Amino acid sequence: MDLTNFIDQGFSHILDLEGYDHILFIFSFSCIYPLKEWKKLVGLITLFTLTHTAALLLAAKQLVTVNYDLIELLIVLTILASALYNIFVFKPDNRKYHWAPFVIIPSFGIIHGLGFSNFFRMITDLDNDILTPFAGFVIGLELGQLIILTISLSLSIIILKINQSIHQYWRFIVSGIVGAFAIYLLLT
Amino acid sequence: MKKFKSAIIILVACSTLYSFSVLHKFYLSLNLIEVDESSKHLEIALKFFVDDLEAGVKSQTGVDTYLSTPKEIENADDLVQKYIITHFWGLTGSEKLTIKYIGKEYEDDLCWVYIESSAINPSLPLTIHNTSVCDVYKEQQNIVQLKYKDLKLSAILDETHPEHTFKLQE
Repeated sequence: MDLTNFIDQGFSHILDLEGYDHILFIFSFSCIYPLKEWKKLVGLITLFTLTHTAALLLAAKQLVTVNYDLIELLIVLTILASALYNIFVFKPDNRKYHWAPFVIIPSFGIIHGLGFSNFFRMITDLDNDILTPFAGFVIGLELGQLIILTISLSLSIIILKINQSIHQYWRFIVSGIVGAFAIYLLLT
Repeated sequence: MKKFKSAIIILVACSTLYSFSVLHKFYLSLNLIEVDESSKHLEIALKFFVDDLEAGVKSQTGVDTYLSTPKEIENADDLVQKYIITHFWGLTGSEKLTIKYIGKEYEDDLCWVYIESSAINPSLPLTIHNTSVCDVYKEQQNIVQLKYKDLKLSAILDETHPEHTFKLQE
């Protein structure tokens, strides 16, 4: 097992369509800003990545033990909360709660990061130093996340080109679908 | 109005979602194999997620084993042994190795299964085959790490590449 194996593990994990919770989450927080406010989005993603990586490190070093069922439940709740926030609280022209994503999304990053602890628990008995699996996994994950983000933003741009008035509803459409998936996951 | 529309979208999407089902998990097991220097037996430790192993045994036998719970059935070891021996085998050259089941041990939601093989000939290529859990999840990867003296080799086995041949000597 070398670095590329671990990159592959992280990459295919995040893009696996059968485990689409990460995809949903990234869609949910990338749809709220109009494209001209891309700086906010970059800031949000950077913060999310930082907390996400910190939690992964805790998981990799096995400094925290988590109840996997609980983490799974929390992950779904974070997705649902994110979708509901987008629909019912967030208003592009009202600055009142605009700080909220910058607090909520990074804290969700911790929960999502801990969701990977099982991976590290499984591979921990390989003789690799912990750095290689960790670095590889993080690189793979981040690459995967960038791809999802690109897809999400491309869709948004395409919709904008097709029909400006539909684009106003983009946030609601994406959040509605994401929320629906989250409720579905919660029920199953 | 927008909120109302979103609520409608949520409801419609909810009612039409039947396909995808589960949250993500890892489809992995770890196979640590060491060649005993004097006896040349393979000492093998297989590390599974308990629920994967249980699902594998169930797919083979139809029996719920309730592994690692107070309800674990009495002949769980027999069924695990049968499952492992069906899915894991090795060849020294072209000769099939005999696999002996030693036992299993739990570590939270992980299960170690210990097995041992008959003696190998280190001058011949060693083939390891493992399709455990692949019958349950097509994404399953079984990571093999093989140690012989100072040599450390590894391979990732899955449904499409269920076996790997290692060269222990040049």
